[in-house]
Amino acid sequence: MAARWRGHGAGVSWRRGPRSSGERIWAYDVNAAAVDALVKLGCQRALSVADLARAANVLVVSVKPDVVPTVLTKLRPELTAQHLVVSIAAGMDLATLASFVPTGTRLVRVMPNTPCLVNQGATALAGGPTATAADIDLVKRYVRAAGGPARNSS
Amino acid sequence: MSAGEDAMAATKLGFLGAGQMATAIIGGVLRAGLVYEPVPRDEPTRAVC
Repeated sequence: MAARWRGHGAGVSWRRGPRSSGERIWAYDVNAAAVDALVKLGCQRALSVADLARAANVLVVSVKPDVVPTVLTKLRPELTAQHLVVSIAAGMDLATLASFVPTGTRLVRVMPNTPCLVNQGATALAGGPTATAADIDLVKRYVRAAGGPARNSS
Repeated sequence: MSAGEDAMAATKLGFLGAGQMATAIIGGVLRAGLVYEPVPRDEPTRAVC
C-alpha cells in the first residue's frame, strides 16, 4: 500500500501516490497461477514466450537455472536487435547464456541476493560484450528499485 | 527527464518466470513508479500506510 504524507512550505501540500506502471510490465510462466499474483499488481499476462517477446523489449529471464536453456531456446527465434536480455538465473555465466541466443544479442547478467526479496538486498551485475553502457545503466535503475545498491562486476 | 529516465520510459519489461525474485523486482519497480501529487486540502495530515 502506498505511503502518504504531507509536505510543508509555500502553502502547497504534496503526497506520494501510486502511478500505474504495471501496464508496461508483462509476465509469462508455464504455471499460469504464478502470473495471477503479478496480474493483481497491475501487470499484463503474456500467453507465450513469443507473445512476451513481442510485447516487451527488455526480457528478464527469471526461471530456475536448469530451465534457462529450454526458455532461451524458445525465445531465440523471437529475439531482435531491439531486445535486451537480462538474466537473474544463478550460476549461469554470460558465455553460457550467449550460446542460447543469436550472436550479438545484448545480455546483462544480474545476481540479486536473497534480501532483495524484502527490498533490502544488493545486486551484482555484468554486461555481455555487446551490452551498452546505457543497457547497464537501465538495468541498474531497475535492480535498485528492488532495494539496495547495484554494483557492476565486469 | 534525464537520459536514463527517458530510457526507462521507453522500456517495456517482460518477465520469463513469475517466481519470488521476479515478484520482488516487479514490486520494487512498481513502488519506484510512485509520483508526487497535490494533496486535497481536506485530507488528514497523518501518515497512512
